[in-house]
Amino acid sequence: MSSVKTRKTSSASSTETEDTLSLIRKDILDIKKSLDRTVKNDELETIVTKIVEKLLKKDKEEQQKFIETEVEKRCENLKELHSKEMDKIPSGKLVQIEYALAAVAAGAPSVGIKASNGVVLATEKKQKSILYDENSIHKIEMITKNVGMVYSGMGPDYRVLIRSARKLAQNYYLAYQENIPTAQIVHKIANVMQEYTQSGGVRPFGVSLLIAGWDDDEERPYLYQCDPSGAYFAWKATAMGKNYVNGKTFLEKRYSDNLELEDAVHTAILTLKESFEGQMTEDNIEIGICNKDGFRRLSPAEVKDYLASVQ
Amino acid sequence: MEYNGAAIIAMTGKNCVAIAADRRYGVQAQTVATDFQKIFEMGPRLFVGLPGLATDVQTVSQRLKFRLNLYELRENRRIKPKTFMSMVSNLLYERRFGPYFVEPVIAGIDPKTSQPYIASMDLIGCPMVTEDFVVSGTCSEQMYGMCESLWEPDLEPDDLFETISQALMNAVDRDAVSGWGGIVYVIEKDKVTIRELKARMD
Amino acid sequence: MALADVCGLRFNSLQNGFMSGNRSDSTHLLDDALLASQSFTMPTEFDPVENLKQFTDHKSDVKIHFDHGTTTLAFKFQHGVIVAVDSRATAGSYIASQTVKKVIEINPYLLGTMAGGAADCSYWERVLAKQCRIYELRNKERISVAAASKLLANIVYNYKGMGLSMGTMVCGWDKRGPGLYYVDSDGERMTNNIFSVGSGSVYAYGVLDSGYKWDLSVDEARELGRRSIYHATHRDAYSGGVVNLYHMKETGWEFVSQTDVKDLHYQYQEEKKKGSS
Repeated sequence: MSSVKTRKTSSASSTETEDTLSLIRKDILDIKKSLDRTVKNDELETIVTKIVEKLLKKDKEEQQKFIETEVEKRCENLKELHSKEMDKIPSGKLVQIEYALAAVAAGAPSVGIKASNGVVLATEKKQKSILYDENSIHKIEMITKNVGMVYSGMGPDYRVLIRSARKLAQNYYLAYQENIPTAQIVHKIANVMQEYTQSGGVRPFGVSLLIAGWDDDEERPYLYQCDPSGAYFAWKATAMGKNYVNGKTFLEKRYSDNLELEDAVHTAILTLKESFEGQMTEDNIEIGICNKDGFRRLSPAEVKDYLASVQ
Repeated sequence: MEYNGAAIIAMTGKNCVAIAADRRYGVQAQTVATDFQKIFEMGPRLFVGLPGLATDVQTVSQRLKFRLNLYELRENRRIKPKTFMSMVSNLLYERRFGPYFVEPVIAGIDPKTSQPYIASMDLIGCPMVTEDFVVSGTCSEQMYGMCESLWEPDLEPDDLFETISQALMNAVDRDAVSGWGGIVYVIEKDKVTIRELKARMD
Repeated sequence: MALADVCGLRFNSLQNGFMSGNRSDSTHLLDDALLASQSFTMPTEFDPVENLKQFTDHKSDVKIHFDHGTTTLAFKFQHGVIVAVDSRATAGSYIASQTVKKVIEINPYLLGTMAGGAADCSYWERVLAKQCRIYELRNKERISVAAASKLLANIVYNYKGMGLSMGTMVCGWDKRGPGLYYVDSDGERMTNNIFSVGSGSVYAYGVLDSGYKWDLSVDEARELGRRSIYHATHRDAYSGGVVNLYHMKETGWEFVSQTDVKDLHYQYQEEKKKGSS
């Protein structure tokens, strides 16, 4: 409401009244501009005319009061009109984000476990048709040498994020000649996701991310989850997507702080297995690991070996 | 570069580095002040020396500190000398076609590994990282000559101080537009010693 | 040839070779002095004033540039003339020497100072020394400072526009008492009580003017000269080294002292500290 200004009328002479009127008109136009573009011009005109008429009759003090109340009334109206267009509903929840989280919860499950010497990411990759070439699309991707990620939710949305994440990581490398720390890339990705909750003409991403990284500086692994709202958290182990509640419960039972990476891979597979429908093969799950040597997606042959040792 | 005049050297020693600069601020031939700051603290064990046009020296030092503060707040950790070098390089290259007239010298000790680090740069940010010494300023030939003959590997902090001081003083004594006193920072893992040098004042 | 090409010199008849010049425009003002100049090698049909313009012109890319970085001063007072100079020689910002003798001892009663081209100064003042000696032999008496300085002024005037660069003070003692003349390569010659020449002269004048009186004592005068040079070396990048101090007396000149300005600086600073406390 910065544009609402009240001015003291110092004299009631006709020219000054005229001046005051033009100032009021300007103020009202300003308010109109800043609040709403849908109010009809003539509607405004009538209000102004009304003010002018009344002004001519009343004395100074009353004029002032009248202007103030008229302007305030008008502002309230416009405010109301404006807020109706927003996505807000009275409960304070932003429904678009709720929708996005629903999309994530309906998506394929993903698991992440941090071990003492690395992190593992695992996800279900069930194809709708056996005719798909299952090696052509990957859900686990590397962002930069020391960071990789996986998602639950909408595949195409994920692609956009991967693209910007890689670019952000390279920009960091360009600036500092040093790999981006996991916390920094997560922060930057979260910024992108937040931006899509507040910008015009876009919707939030329908994905949650698990980001696994190795911090060269601190010489320790990191596991982050990043939600469509832009919120992010560091986990010891977590699950997302379909049946994530069960997955988390399972992990809570199985997790210990001195887990080795090899064991963590096993635990990840077992967690997926909890809710897995049908036979688990090297072609319908995907695993990525990250340790001091960097991030890498396991080959189907390696996954097969792990599966064999789990069974 | 010769408008104001300056001379800066950085040298490595055993688990230490030193950076030294002259103190003159002059306008061509006229010496205006003999207590001008050309070495700036960028961290507890990180210093940058900026020889060149005095106005740019101050602007660059301030803009570097600005970027560094943001970096350290964002990442919640101390910057590594090598990373800082990239930061300086980028700042300078951003002005590729209208450069700041400074040729920085960086000296520091890695906050984690305690490795000594020195580097110098041209005015558009081309880095030069060396193991022994770097020089920059109006009498770089003289400084190179002195460093080349005085420097030896694994100098202890006190010997490093002596070496860098002699190198600086004798170099500026053959340069008309630098000198008028000197200042030396010896940077060790857990302390920085600052000494002022008594010099010829002509 | 290559150098000439680079410099853009167009010699009319270079192929004729360099010959000892019978310069067509030479006048016969000072035969003895010209005798010396006749040994300068020059191309035939070569007009130095015309052809050297391109090097002395400030707008030109190629220049014969002489450094004026120096501080020299001299002043008359009741007990004679004090001459004080610095000792720095520079080439650009490079300090070529810190131990230059900028006072030229022409004879026991004449001193010349050096500013501008070192070679020009020392050569022509050597010529001047010869002329002064010849004058003495011919006239059985010492040359006056006025005459000696005029001799020098006339010589350099003959070379005007050919790139000579000198700003010198001729100091001496003759029948008229202490003598002090300023002569430069433009042909200017004048006399006064105080002169200072060189890039540091502005600073020297500052100190000199504020401390100068005709009836200074010998010690005061010497200290004034020293201090003036010191302050000039401190402020002026192109002056420095040591202060060489001479005193011209009725009995001829005396070399008074040679002081490193580094010692002077810390000495003066100490005095300042004492004075303020």
